[in-house]
Amino acid sequence: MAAHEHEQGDSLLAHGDHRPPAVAPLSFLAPDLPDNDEAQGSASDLSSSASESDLKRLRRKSHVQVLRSERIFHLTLRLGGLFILLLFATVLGVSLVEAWPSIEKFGWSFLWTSTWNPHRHIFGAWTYLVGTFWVTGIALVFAIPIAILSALFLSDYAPKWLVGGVSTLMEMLAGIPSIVFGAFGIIFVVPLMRDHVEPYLANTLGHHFDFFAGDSMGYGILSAGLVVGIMVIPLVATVTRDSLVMIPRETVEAAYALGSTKAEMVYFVKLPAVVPGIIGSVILGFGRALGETMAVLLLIGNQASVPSSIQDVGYTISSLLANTFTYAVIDPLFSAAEIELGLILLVISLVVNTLGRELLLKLMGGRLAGSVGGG
Amino acid sequence: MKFVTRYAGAAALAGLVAMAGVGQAQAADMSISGSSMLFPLEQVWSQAYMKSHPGTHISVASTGSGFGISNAANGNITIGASDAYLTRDLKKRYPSLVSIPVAFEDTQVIYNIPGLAKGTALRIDGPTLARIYMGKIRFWDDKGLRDLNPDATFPHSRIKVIHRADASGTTFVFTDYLAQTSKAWNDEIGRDLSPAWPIGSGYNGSDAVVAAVLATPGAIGYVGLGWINEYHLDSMALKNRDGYFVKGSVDTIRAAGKAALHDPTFPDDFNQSMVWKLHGKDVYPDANFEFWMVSTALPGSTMKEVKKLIIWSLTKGQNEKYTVKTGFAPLPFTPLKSRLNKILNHILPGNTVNIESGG
Amino acid sequence: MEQSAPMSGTLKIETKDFSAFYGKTQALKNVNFAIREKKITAMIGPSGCGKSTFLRSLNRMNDFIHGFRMEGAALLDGQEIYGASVNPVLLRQRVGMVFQKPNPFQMSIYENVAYGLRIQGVKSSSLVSDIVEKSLRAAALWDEVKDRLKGSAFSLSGGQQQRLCIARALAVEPEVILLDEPASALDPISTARIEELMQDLKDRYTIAIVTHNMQQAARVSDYTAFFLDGTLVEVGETTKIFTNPDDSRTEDYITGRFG
Repeated sequence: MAAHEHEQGDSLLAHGDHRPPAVAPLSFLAPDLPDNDEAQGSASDLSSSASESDLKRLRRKSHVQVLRSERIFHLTLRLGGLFILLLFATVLGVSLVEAWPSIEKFGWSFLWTSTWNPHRHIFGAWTYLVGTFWVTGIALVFAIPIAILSALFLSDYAPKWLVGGVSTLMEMLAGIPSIVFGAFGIIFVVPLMRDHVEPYLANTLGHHFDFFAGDSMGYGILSAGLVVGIMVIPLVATVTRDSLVMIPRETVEAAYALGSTKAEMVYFVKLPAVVPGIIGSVILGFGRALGETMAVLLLIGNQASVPSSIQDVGYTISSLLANTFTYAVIDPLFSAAEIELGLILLVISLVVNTLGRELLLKLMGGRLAGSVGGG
Repeated sequence: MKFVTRYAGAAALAGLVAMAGVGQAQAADMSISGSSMLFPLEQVWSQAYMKSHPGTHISVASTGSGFGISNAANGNITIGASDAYLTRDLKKRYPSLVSIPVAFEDTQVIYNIPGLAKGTALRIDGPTLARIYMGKIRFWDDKGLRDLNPDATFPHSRIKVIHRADASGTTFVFTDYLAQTSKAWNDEIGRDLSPAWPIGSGYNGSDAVVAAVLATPGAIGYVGLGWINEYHLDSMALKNRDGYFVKGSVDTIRAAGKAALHDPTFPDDFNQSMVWKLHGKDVYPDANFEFWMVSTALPGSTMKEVKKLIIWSLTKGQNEKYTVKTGFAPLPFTPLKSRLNKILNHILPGNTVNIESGG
Repeated sequence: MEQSAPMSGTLKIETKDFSAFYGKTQALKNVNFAIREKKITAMIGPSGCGKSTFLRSLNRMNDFIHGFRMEGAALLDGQEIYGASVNPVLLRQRVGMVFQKPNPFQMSIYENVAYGLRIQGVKSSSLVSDIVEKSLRAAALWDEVKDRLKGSAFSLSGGQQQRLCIARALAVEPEVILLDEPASALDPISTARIEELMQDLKDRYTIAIVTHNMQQAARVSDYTAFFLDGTLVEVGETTKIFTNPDDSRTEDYITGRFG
C-alpha cells in the first residue's frame, strides 16, 4: 500500500520527468501511453499541455486503482469459484453418504430393478428412469421443431413490428413458474388429450402400433411431455434465434448471390450454421425437462410402471421425490434409495452436459463441419 | 437420513430457541408438525386454543407423517402428527413415543361410472375392491360387481384406478382395509402410506384425486369424509365384518370408534388398527384414529402444557365446528376416558389430571 | 453514349438513365453504361460515389436493402433486369457475385463449391464432383485443397477463402461475375493471385470489378469507369482513362489530387 501511495505522490509532483520505476511492471498498459508520453516529452510549455498533464495525472491515479481493484476483483472471483466447487463437492458428498445404504445393498442392479416396494424393502430405479426419459423425450421431440421454426420465423420471416412483441412474449413464457404450466396442463391439455387427441391416436395409429393405443385417460406421459415441451420451447427458440441473428449478413448475401431462394438460403445456409447453437439450447432444454417436477407431478399420473404406450401413465424421478420424500425419511433405506435416485439424476445431467459441450466444441471447431453440410 | 434429519432438526431447534428467546413473557410454546391430513384441524384448534389460553403459543406445520414421527421422537418438535399408529417396527425405532388418538380419519370409495343411473346406491366388499386395485377386475360390468349390485346396470367400460401419489393417511386406511380383507393384497402389497401400486394413476392430495375421478369416465378413487361432504360425492357402501354394507358418515364412523373403545381386546396404547376389526350393524369398516405422537423425554413443564392441550382437544376440540368442518368425525369422549387417563399418566407420571373438568 | 464509342465487343449489360435511391437519398443519377462480354470492366471512384450500389444493382442484391428503389433501365442481353416477369433468383444464377470479405458457408470446402449445384437440384454426385474440381481448378485452389475437401472452409487462409468464394460462384456457371472489391481484405500475395485468376477467367466470363485500388484497376481491366457523387463521370479503355482521361475530375482522381 505504501509503495502505491508513494508512486501516486511521485507522479503528482514530478509528472513528465520520467516514468516512475514502479510503473514498469505495468507495461501491459503501454499501448495506451505512447501518445501521452510524447506529449509530455515535448511539453516545455506547461500551459499549452495543461489538459494533457491533467489527463496524465488522472490516468496515473487510475493505474494504481486499476491494479488494486483488479486484485480484489480476481480474489473475489476466485472465492466465487471456490464456493461453487465446495458447494458441488458438498452436494455430491452428502448425497453419496446418505444414499450409501441403498448403494451398498442394491449395487448396480438398482438401475435395472423395476420393483419399488418400501414395504418389502426392495428398491429399483428402472421405472422412474424410463418415465423420466419418456417425458424428456416427448418434450424435446415436441419442442425442438416448433422452437426452431419459430426462431426462423422471428429471424427471417416475421414482419418487424411483430418481432419485438413475439420475442418479449417468448421471454415472458420462459419466466412463468412451472406450477402455472401444470395447472394449464390440467385444465387444458389433459381434457384435450383425453377427449380428442388420444382417442384419435388410438383409432388410427393405435390399430397398428400398441405404442399409440390406450385408455385415453388424459393424464400420462403424453400430457406431461407436451407441457414440459411447452416450457422448453422458449428456451430453445431464444437461443436459436440469437444464433440466427448472429449469422453475418455477408453469408446471407453469398447465398442469394448464388441464386438461392429465401427458403434455400434459410435451409441450406442458416440452419447448418446454427446447429451448434441449437445443440446447445437443446442441452439446456434437456436439463430443464429432466428436472421439471411440479408440472410433471400434476400431469403424469404418478404410477410406477413402465409405459408401453404414449397414452400410459408413468412416474419420473423428480416427481417421485416430490411426492414421497417427506415420508421416506422415516426409513433409512427408503430415503437412501430416493437420494440415490436424485444422484442418478445429477449424474445424467452431468453426462449430457459434458457430451453436449464436447459435441459443440467439435462442431464449432469445424472438425464435423463437413457432415453438417451434408457432404 | 441421519444427515438431513440432524440438520433439519438443528434448524428447527434454532428456530424454537429463537422463538423462546423472543417470547420470554409467554407461558408456553408448542410446535405441532407432521400429517398433512390433520393439519387443517390443527390449525383451527390452535387458533381457538390460543384465544382461550392467552400466553400460549402453538405453531402448526404440515410436513408429512414421517417427519412428524421422527422429529417428535428426537425432540425437535413438541407434538408429531401422524396418520398411522406406531407399528412394531416404528415402536422399536422410537421407543420414547406415545400415540394419542385425536380424531377419526376414514376412507370412502368414490367413482365416475358413465351411464350409471343417478342415485344408484353401490356396494362393494374388500376382496372385490382389492381385485380392482390389483388390475384383476378391468371392466365395470364384471360379474363380481354385478353380483354385489343386482339392481345396478353397469356399462361395459374400462375401470380407471385412481390413487394418491403422495404418502398419505387416507391411503394407509384404504390399504389397511384391503390388506385386512384380501389375502392377495396383504401378501403382495400390504398397508402403507405410500404402497407400491400395481396399477392406476396417482395424484397429489385428495383434491386432485376428486378432480381426476370427476374428470375421468370410468374412474374409481378414494377420499375421506371431508371431501365427500365438500364436493357432495357419492360413495360406495363398504362391507363390514358382520356382512353389513355401510356408507361412511359421521355417525357410522363414530359407531366404529365406540365399538373399538368398548372392545376389551383393543390395546390401550392404540397401536393397532381398528379397520375391519369391529362388529355392529352400523359400524363403518374403514376408519381409524389420527394420532399425536409425544415423546416421554419432553421436560416436565412442557409436558404439562401438552397435557392441557390434549385434554382440550379431546373435549372441547371435538366440537363439530372443528372436526366435521375439517373432514373428521368427532371422538366419543366417554368411552375414551379411562384409556386416555392411562396414556396421560404414562406420559407424565405422578400427575393425575381430572379429565372431566379439563379444557 | 459518346463515352462508349471507342469501346468494342458485344454488350452484355447495359443501363439507361439508371438511378437508384435509398429512401430519399439518391445514390445513382442517370447512369448510362455498358459492360462488354468477356472483358473486365473496372469501376473506380472515392468512397460513397455509388460504384458498389451500381454493381449490386446488376444482380439485384440491393433488393434486400430496405427502402431501395430504382428508375431507368438495366438490361442483361437486352432483357430488363428489373422487369416484372424477371425472377431475381434466376437472374443471380446468371450474374454471380464475389464480395469484399471472404464469406464461405459454415460447411466443408467441397460443400461450399457444390452449394449452387445442390440448390439447382443437381443430384448426380459424379457430376457434382466433376464441377467442384473444375471450379476449384479454375479458381487456382485445387492443388491446395484437394486433400482436405471435407475440411471446414474456415480452416483456409483469407486469400484461399476468397478464391473458394470465386470457385463457388464459378460452379453455377454464371455469364457475368461481379467482384465487389474482392482483394481489399487480402495481403499483396493473395491479391496478386486473384488478379492472375481474373485474367484466366476473362476468356469465359464477363467480369465487372469494383476496386479502391487504382493500380489494380490499371493492371487487370480492359475498361475503366470513374464514378463520382452518384454519376458516371467517364468510361473508356483502361489505358486511355489512366493516361489521357477526357474529364479533368478523372485526372484529378487518378493522380491522387482527391479521394
